[in-house]
Amino acid sequence: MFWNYLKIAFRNLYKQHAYTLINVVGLSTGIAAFIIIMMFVQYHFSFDKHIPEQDRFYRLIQVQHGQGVGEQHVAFNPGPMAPELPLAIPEVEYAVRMLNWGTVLLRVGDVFFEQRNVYYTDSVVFKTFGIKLIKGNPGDVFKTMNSVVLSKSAAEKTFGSVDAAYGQTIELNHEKDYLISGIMEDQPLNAHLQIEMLVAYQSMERKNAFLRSWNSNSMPVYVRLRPNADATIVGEKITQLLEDHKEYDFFTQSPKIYLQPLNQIHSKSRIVKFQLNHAPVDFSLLIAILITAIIIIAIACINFINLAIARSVKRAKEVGVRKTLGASRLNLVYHFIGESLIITFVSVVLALIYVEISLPEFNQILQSELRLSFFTNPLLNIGLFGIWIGISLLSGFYPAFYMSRYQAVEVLKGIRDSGSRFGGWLSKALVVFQFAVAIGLTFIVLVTNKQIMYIANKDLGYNYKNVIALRIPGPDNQKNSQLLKQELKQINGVMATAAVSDINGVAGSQTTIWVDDTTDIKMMTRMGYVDEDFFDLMEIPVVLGRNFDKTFKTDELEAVILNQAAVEALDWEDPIGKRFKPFGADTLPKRTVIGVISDYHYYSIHSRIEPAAFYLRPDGYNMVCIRHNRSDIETFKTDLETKWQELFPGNPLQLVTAEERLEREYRGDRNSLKLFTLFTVLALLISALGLYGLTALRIEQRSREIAIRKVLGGNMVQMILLVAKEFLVLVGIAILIALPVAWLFSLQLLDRFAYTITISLLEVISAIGIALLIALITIIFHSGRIVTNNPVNALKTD
Amino acid sequence: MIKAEKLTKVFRTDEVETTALNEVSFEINKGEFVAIMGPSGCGKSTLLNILGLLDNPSKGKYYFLEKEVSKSTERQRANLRKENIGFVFQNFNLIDELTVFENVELPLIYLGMPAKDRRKRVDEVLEQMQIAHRRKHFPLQLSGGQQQRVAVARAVVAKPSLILADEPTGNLDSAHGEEVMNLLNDLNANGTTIIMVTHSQRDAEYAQRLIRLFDGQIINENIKKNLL
Repeated sequence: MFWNYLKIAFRNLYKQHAYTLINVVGLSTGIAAFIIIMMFVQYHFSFDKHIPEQDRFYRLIQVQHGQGVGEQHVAFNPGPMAPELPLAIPEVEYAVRMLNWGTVLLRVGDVFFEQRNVYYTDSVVFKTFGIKLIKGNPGDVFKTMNSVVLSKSAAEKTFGSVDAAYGQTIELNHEKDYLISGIMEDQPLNAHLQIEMLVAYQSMERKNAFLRSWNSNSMPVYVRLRPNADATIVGEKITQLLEDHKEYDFFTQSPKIYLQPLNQIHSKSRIVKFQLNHAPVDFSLLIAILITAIIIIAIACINFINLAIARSVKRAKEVGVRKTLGASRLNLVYHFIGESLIITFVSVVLALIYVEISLPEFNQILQSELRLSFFTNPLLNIGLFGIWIGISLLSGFYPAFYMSRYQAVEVLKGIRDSGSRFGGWLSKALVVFQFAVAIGLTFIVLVTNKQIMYIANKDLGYNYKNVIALRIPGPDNQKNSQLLKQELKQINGVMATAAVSDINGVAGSQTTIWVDDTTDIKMMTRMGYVDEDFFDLMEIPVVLGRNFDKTFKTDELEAVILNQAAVEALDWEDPIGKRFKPFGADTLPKRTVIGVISDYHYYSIHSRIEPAAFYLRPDGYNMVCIRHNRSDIETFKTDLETKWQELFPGNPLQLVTAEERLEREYRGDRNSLKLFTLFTVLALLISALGLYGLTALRIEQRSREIAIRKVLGGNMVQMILLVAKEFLVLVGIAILIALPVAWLFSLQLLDRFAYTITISLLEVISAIGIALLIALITIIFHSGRIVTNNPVNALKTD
Repeated sequence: MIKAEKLTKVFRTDEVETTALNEVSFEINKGEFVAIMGPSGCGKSTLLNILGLLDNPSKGKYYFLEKEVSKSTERQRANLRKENIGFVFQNFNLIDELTVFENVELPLIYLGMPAKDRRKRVDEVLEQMQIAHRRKHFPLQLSGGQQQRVAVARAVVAKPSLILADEPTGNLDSAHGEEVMNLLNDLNANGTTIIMVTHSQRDAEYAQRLIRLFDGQIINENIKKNLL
């Protein structure tokens, strides 16, 4: 019996190859999109699963309220906090600090290596993060101050093998005699912290006073609580601890600490500032694309169901004969579900081929490392089997029950079940759903696109074109910045150079500055160290007062330049000459405002421009910026490299263009847009495919009616309208449903940006236009056949 | 074998009520060959559908193999059908997607017969109907007469005690028509009861008894010899 079903199903599908093709193409595309999205979602939900005692592991988040920035959640806490926590709070089993020092330079003999993902920490890290050592003992590796633990890969990269690396001494950021006291296993990539090298915390702490201060928040702190401890209560206790150690009031309210559970760190940290998350993702984005995936697969299933129902008229005779010969309804249900199993199976196989082909591209867009691994990912296999059976049943069930309901007598006599015509409400509802989704998605993509274009073209307040920044090599940044500035100017095409803490002008950190008057105002600002050439180079106008000037000897120790946002936050009418007092870790003399620059977007346009204060501080520069007029960028980079090797032989040159850096800020947005555009096009395509098939079948069903009308004098346009009307009404209803929903969703989406476009009628009209166009093209394409067909053919066959 | 008591069938639409059969009563014994005749719309096919358990009457009683079945469910009727009744239609009603062999095999599949036995039985019947050489062809590759022979083969393959034929020669030329009628005649001679609806006087001559219908009522019921 089974083989009989299978055989007949195959033959049926082969015979109706156009129908089968539409189904298979639609379904496989939908399934492929679904698989990729599910893999993406699985990848993001797999983050941090290697950390032991998941449910007791937390990151400490500090909620601050400061003048100029309002409320902010930061993932940084003071250096002395972690060692204190297990001593002061019994519920805390372990606490560990993870101070990141960016990319460090390792020197082995005469060779330099750049090492990323370096953390200064304590030996408790091995227990809390579940890091296993291949060489060395967790209790001993950080016994001496200058000790380093390398990952297996890092050891192999620098020394060739684990054994060769273990016990060696290296130079770290131009400091000699760091002992490689341990080698750890490589840490998983799907972790919010990428760890490749660990260094004893003390080695950094002894050189930097702020790392010993409770007033400087500079590193993430993680805790593992004892079983059954209440995280809320622990948070309150840590808040109190922080309060007890407070020396200054930096904020408008005392900061509060809460414990962020491990499973929220990767995907639910959008509001958290100052975090080091690797490839973070927004939970709402995950949900949005998950919904899109389900919608796409639903559209494909709907095609399946609609085509099957529309085709059922043609198959009515077969059902009638089978019933007459004794087939029970269940027999027929099996029969039709068998066909659906075959179509879906073929589609799943095809989908896997699409996925395999397109994964590299997707990995680039999604910034992920997805792979189709059947052997190591049991969930994938279960998922695929589930997709196969699920879709087969979902799409096969209704048509199967629908067709098996036919009365043998009626279909054999030629009486058509009125429900079998396309007039059935379910078919109509499904078409409306398909189009509503297609229109909604189109609308959202149009709005997103407009927003991204707006950002891309928005005046950021500075000229980032033709700017390259070079990282200044240590150990003497001050001397080397001067040297670089001078020497780089000699390269053809270099128009100006400037030294700065970071290419965007601000150092990334925040500080509180205290107004030196009777108001006792303390304002939180971003902080930047720039020299006298930076604002000119970036074409950032000084709107009040003056720029830094080398001829003013006091500028270096006593001057500050603010941005307009800072002036506004302080509500100053005449800021020039106003003074700040030394405060907290800032032991410098009083600073006087000498100038105000116009606001520019030093970070992405997602966030409002925060108050910023700029100081002239030669020992704080990390980069030298160049403005050039070269169009041959690659040769220019070679010129820079040649000059660099003259000045700092053996040192690796690290450079970044301002445009690249800006692109990084918006990469997430662009990628989301690409993704949604792709899925929208897919959804439209599958919908169009379904409509194509449906129109074809509908015209076939109505061929007799159309033939009679033609005999009676109906012309081509009237016939096309006859068919089109049926579908256009449905598209109209879809528009009414889709637009309000899509509109609301778009507003939510725009809410993520600080500066946004307004949605106009243009997007509405465009979305409707695209949907109508697709519907009309499909219908007209088919209707052509009505005209060319000889009416007698249709009349005879009936 | 068959006993109809005041069988009535009424078709209703929103506005019109049509009585297709009006209190029709008769009996048919095992082994009989009965022809039903009458003008278009007189209720012949409706009657045949009820006799074939494809439809239920609106009123009246229908005894099939001594069992009252007028109120049976579709499931019960399906079981009775597949074990006892074979159908032959005017338009053959073969499944175009299946080969000759597979079309004939279908009733046996629904009866749950093992594959080996099925093959044997189908081959036997195809030989008997002289269509075995076409066993791998699809219906649309055959002539009308050949298609109807396949249809008859399919009707008899499960060895039903009753064959219902609805205008079996209606779509055939006279030579092919005669072939089919001879097949039915042979089956009847071997003990199969046959009820046939026809327009053709010639075909009716093969029957032993004739029932004439007009406007849903029997107007004449005669034994062959008296009639002709």
